[in-house]
Amino acid sequence: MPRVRFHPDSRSIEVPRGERLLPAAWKAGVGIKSVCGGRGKCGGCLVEVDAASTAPDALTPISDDERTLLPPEGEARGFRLACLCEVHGDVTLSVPAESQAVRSAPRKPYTVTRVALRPVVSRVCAQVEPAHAEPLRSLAERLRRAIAGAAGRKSVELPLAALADYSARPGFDSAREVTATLHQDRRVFELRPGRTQALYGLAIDIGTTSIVVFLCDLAHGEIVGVRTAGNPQAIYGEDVISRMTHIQKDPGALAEMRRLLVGELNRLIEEAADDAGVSPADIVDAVAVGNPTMQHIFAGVNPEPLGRAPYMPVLSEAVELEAAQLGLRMLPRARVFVFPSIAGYIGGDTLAALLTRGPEFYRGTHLLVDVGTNGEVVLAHHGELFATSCATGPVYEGAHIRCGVRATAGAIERVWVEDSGKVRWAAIRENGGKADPRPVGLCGSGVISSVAAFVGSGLVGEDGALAGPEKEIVLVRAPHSRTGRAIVLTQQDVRSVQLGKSALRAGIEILLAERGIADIDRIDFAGTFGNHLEPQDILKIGLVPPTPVERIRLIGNAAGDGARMALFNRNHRRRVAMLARRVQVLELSTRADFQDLFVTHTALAPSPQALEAV
Amino acid sequence: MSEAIESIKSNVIRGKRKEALEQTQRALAAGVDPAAIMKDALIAAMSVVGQKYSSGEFFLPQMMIAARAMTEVLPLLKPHLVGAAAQKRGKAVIGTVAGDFHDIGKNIVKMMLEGAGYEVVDLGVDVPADKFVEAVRNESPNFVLMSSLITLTMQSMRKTVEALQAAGVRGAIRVGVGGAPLTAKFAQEIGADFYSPDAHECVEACNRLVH
Repeated sequence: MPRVRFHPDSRSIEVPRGERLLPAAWKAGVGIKSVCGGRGKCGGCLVEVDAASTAPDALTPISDDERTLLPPEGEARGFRLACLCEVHGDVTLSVPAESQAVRSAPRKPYTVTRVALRPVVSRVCAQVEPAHAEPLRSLAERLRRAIAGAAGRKSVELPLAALADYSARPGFDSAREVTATLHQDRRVFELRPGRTQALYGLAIDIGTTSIVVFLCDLAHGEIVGVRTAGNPQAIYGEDVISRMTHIQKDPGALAEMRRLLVGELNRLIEEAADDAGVSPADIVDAVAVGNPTMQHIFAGVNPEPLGRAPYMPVLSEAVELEAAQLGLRMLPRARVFVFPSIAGYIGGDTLAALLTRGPEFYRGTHLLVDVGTNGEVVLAHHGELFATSCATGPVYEGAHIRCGVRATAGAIERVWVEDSGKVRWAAIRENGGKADPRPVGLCGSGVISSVAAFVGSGLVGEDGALAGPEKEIVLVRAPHSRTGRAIVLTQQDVRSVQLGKSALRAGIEILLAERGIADIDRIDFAGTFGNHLEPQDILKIGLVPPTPVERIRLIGNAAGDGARMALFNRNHRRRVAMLARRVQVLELSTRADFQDLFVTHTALAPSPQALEAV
Repeated sequence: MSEAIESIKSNVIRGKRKEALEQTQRALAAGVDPAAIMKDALIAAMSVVGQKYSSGEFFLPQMMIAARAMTEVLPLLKPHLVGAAAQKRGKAVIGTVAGDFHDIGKNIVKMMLEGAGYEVVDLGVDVPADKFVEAVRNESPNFVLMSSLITLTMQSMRKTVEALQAAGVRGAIRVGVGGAPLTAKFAQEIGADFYSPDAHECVEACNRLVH
């Protein structure tokens, strides 16, 4: 079998003849960017083949489709698209920085919201009467009485499973002191001899792109560890549709995606628990939020119907999964509470974000906007709640952009144009170590920032057309970039921004029109990407309706914050179910006015002239 | 070419509806050949718009307002077109496939085709395979054009082509497909006749194949 060697990771793998490079890389554990999920559409999986150690016929020849996606001089330099070429002999290649699927870490992972402590799981220590105590009672009966007494209740449930587990422990029948772990103060789901007071829980935010795990001390209401990583399902494509497509083609892919996700979560849990000195057996509760597709996959439910009109979820109510069944590294009998969803594209993550908004959000007129590959907008207007979702596309994550990269070190995050016309930029800096000051590309906020700056300075018209004769604007010339190629913003990039921007804005306009609203008291931007935008840029390109800049607030990873709230206080789990019922969903794709609004708001201006008025 | 025609053409390109309408009315009153207005003003304008869109100079709003100006002028000419000039270039049945509600791209293709002198039967969105078959039977078009914006609904295109085949009407028509997630390779795989990356190319493809 031919062998493929990957640099700079120095990994290699033997693959059957005819295997494509992209899956070969995944199998070797090499992360290669693939926005379109290996369908030969995005050009993201660019690799550089080492001609010196690779026979000319080791890979299938370049097709016309592939050629059009390669960068200029790409063919001569040995560039190929990993998803389009098959391996027929030994290959050595390197994965350039801009093609590496970066496991990105949100830079500001959380904000701390004060929550009254009332976790759903509690632990009590009880003194059990000896077997010979009069009147004679079974161990189960003695345990029940002791635990109920210690918990200050008339009775507790002791299900067979917990009793059976306990009876497998050495010395179970002679222990005088036991610790019971209770769900909602009344159902015992774990027993152990001795005294344990440690009580920990997990808040898990499953994003399409990245996952975050918060390890929390439920006895004291503190975060004791935060870990984040890229969602390993990215090898099946970077957006939810690509992942659904894989499941459509191969039903086994669902279990595999779930396995990958749980594996990565376990790695994060172990790291956080090790660092904090917490035993996994003391992690007794978990709350997970994500978009509907992520929640479906996590729950092991086929998400495919979400990908087709009318985009209905299979699962909309909250579910509880058993940790043992999931294989999650925590107390095996513990349960993982998965948030409910509102609609096909409005999931637990949106509800969690909504949960973090205080009572003032429900008074007056407020918008909650979460932008990622999909944009969700919730409008609160005098106590009523409306929501919609907009297909913004992956542009906000730096994808589908010629020089787009994830928001990691070396990514340009802010761009401005000096009065002299000189284009200036700032990149995300490396955390310690020897920093390479040269930039790699543009991350989502860098893309928005540059479009806003270029429109402001006239390099790009409000209609999105580049003013100059060139089809691209150079931000960094080739010698100064880490990739050795110029970092540019192309006409096509601006068009992608316009489409993504317009989808969100049209969604907002439809929500506002629903109640004839002209004035918004506040707009909260959630999501890791939302956190890195400049409110001025948001207004300049017309992502939201004209609003005084001080009314726009960036509220960070609100989904994670909401998940923690539901972990620390059980009342929030009830609240979220109520919220889910209160929200009225507007489906944009069936609205007659959507097309005109969408087309009108492709303009990069705060309030473009409506199409009808032209 | 007359100044009037040149002016109608430029107003359609710029999406000036009122001006385009007024000038067309005046030109007709002054005895300008309606067939020439059709060919040298409207069809020519939409061809320019299509090229400008493909080159990146125009974007959706410019394309949309131009197409709208064109569709408003069209009914003024229709009653005056006789003989060969009244003849449509061809007929197309168009729709967004089952499971998909996206219709902006499909609407643009429809307007561009009308602007290029085609008769277009629009089946709307979320169109199941049997609707396409029925339309082919009832309308006897030259083309069946399908749009899909979601990877998952691309499979509906395959099903439609199969249904056309099974109904025995596949041979009488040319099948064209388009939409962001598609590729020429996919079109080939499902047995479509052509794939177009944008509305302009779709019109060009129809023009090449209609004869």
